[in-house]
Amino acid sequence: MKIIRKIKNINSNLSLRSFTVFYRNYMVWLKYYKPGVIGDILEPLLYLAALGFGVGKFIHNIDGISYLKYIVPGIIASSSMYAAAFESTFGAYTRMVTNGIYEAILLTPVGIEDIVLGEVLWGTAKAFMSGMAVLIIGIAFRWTISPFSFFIPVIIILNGILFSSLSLLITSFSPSYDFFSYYFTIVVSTMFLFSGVFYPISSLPYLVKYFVYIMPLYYTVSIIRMLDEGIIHPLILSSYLSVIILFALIFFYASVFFIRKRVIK
Amino acid sequence: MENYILTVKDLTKNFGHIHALNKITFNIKYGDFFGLIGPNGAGKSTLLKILYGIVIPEAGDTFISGLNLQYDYKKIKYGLGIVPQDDNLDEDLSVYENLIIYAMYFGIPKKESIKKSVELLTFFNLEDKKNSKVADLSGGLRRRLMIARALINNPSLIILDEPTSGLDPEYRQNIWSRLRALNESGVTILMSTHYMEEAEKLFKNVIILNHGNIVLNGSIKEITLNKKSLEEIFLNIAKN
Repeated sequence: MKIIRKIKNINSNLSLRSFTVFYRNYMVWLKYYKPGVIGDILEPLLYLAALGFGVGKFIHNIDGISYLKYIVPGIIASSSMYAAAFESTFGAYTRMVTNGIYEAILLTPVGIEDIVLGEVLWGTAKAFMSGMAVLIIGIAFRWTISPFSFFIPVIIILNGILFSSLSLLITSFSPSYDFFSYYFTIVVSTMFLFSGVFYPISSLPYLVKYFVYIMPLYYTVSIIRMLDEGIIHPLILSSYLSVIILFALIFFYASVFFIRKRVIK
Repeated sequence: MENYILTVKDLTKNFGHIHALNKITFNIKYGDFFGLIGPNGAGKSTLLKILYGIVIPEAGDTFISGLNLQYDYKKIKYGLGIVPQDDNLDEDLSVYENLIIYAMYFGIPKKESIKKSVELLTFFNLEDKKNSKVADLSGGLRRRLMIARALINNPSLIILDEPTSGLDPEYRQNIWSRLRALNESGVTILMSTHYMEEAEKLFKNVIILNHGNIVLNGSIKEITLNKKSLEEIFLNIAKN
């Protein structure tokens, strides 16, 4: 009951003012966007090229499709995860702790709920840019050709919301920038390597395979792959979508709660 | 309560075993230039932070313009200008952009915010720094920008936490003259300071805090009636 009351309270305080927080971040990004964009777009493309063409030479196909085509959905999901995670950890920490931006915003009618939502939206926008870059290249080179591929942007957005929220939650506990090493090594990199980005999880040992099911990235990769291949299993699709939305909601409300606890004494 | 822009009643805040504020009660009239003085650790910043919503009190009530801070803090913020002790200007934006983005947080339409920003840059003599990076400003200019930023929403009450701390006398005088002009234009000011000279020159009414308690509350004239300077009174309190 206490949790429900807290969630209701957060919902009642959410407003369109969160877009001002988003816009502030966008204004700053416009000043320095060039190196950021190159990193966000080039890095996933390097993975795609190195593994797709390099490793792809030795692996002819997985489940009947070429290795390059196989890894495109995973790279879309993981690049959007990384973009959201970087923005909502290092970027958000700088705004919250180093530059005192949250405290400055809180002197206005913008509340902590709006700040967190604005940050999540901004992290999602960064995730969207990164994921879409890979998707567009994929479509341009005909690596993704299913008509269902046009729904992939929706999944990228959901993935962005999920990982921005999770990363903000981590940021709310972080005592310093160094703390993020734990998150990126233990959580983000583990998901990147084990969520079925590069190989089907059926090849993993029994116990490890079940461990993958608690990784949110697995569900995003699976849905994008399903849409990319054009073979839709409605039950799996809806249950995986529910898992992603549930994870996103839990992380969002938890991050509002803990960021409030950190900023307001 | 109708005559008062700010009413604080039995405000209490503890940080662990430290009693930062102990049942503080006072009022501020509309149009007042109200001072808050006290030694380090007296509870001045805690009190101001409660008023602008960064610290939540354990007990007590605060009313600003008749609205209860606990329930109507968002509404209250529309009429409040705040200059915190720590400089939290947006380093990534220019002087002008700092004002524009702040206006946006208040929901002020773009046209109006541009007009108001230009007005404030002129009032605080910052026009030639309009496109400068905040990081390139001196301490005095940053303080002026902080005060300008706090005025973007035409507040009826402005709260300043030691706004002249660490500034050289020239900058301090400069800020004083602007604060006086604001007060004469009808803005109520609540300000904390370490400088007794500043308190005597600016404030109409004052409270002196020590160890989270109000030890003196009255007009500067009343308090210094027995020919004792504010500094002597302050030192006596600090000693005891």
